[in-house]
Amino acid sequence: MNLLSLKDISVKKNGNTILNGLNLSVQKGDIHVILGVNGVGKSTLALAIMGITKYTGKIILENRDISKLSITKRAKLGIRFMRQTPPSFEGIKIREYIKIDSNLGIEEIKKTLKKVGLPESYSERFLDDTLSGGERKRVELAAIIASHPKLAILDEPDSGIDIISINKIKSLIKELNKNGTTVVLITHREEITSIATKASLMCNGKIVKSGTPRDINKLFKKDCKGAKL
Amino acid sequence: MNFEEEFKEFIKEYEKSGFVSQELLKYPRLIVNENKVLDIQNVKGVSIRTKKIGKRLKVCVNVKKGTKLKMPIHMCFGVLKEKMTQNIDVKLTLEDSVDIKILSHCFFPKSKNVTHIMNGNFVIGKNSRLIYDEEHFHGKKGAKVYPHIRMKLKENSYFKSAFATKQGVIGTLDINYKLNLGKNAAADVFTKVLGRKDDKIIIVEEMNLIGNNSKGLLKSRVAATQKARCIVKSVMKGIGKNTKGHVDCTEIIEDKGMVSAIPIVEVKEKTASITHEASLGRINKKQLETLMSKGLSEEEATEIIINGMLR
Repeated sequence: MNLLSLKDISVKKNGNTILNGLNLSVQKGDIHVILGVNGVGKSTLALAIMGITKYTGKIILENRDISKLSITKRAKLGIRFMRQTPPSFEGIKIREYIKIDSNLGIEEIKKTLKKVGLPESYSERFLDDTLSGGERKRVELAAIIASHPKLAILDEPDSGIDIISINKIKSLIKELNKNGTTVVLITHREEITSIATKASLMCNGKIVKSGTPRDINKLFKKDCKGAKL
Repeated sequence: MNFEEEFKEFIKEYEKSGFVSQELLKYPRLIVNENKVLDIQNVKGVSIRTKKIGKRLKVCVNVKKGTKLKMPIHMCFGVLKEKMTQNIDVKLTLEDSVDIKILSHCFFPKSKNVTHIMNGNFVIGKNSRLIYDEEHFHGKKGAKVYPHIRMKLKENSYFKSAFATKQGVIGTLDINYKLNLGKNAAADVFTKVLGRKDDKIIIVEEMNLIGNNSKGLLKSRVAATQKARCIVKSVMKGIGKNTKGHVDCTEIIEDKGMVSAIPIVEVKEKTASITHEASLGRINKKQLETLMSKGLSEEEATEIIINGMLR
């Protein structure tokens, strides 16, 4: 069953075409990896799904056209989004940030932080620029796990994370998925497809092929790495 | 109203703000309503004396050499009336090797036309440390407040202040601080203000790093919403050798608010280093979108960002 369908999505910025009539179907329960080299429009695609960037075309979530819905309304339908570089927030503690979107008590928040590889004491830290980009990403991932969304769009969750921790992040995404969240995982690293149940290859603002992670990986290695299709 | 009734009424109103409790009444303190002293409690090493001169109230706080207090000294200057001008002159002297905290509350819950003028003259002795928190509680109609402080920090002394408007509408706020730092002294002045309605806010803070190796930080966080107007003038001067200063100003606007920043950074000594950063404008779009993508409305997200910035 389709959870999310994107139909003929186009985005233009300053006269440049970023997304060019993109079509994509995401099945409920999948970890669907969008694989593509830098600059093909992957992050713009994530922003379009969340309603952050303007686009033409249709976005359907569970048979409902959400194309004209605001960011807030899309979030209320159960979509969550993790930016490639989450912003810092002055004066907001990490526990308060996670509480915005969940009913977790302090002990559960600490456990969630531990899961994403942050010390429990971070619950009292501010989500400001004293945290590294990688740490802010982990906090964002913790917030998403705590909110139990229907659909999580994760933009490059593996970038800025050390090699040792990548496996932990991968297993967390699997766990998130196991608990009922469909995941759209955007990446330029084929290693991450190992946790995917479905994959799509993105080039020049379009999905050029969808299929098994193995097939898409092969195609990516063959045709995309080092040169755009 | 007799003295006792006035004191009870004052405390009752004070507690209504939700920011104070009976706990504060355990501290050494000075509680003033209008220009009447309702309560003074001194502790060993701390002498708080007052004198009424015409319509002005002179307050002398002297902290003896070597005094170190775990609990803060609580000072509250309030006006329960709707209209009144309160004139307070505060002379604060910390002798050498003192370590204290002062919690100063300005409290005008029913103000329609209250003016509070506070002229402070602070001297921080050698090797002394003062933490000074000033919090304002205003009513729905705002007040006119003029906290003006002149301060001298002697050798190796440290001063840290935080000014915050906690409740109500500001009205007119005119902050004027001037600090002169001696050798190896350090100061950290943090001002947080939320302007609403027709508030007029002028913040002028000047730090003169006169003594060698002195260090200073002037930090301001201001939000001007609705029709509030705010000007922040931050002056940092590196005069002594190896002095280091930094000015950090963030001002955001919403609705028809207006903010302006006038940073003046001046160096008169080649080994001095003064830096400055300022950010003025609307709320950060990325922060707003990130909170909205958690299901918050734009208004809710804005409130969280502003409250965080002013925390």
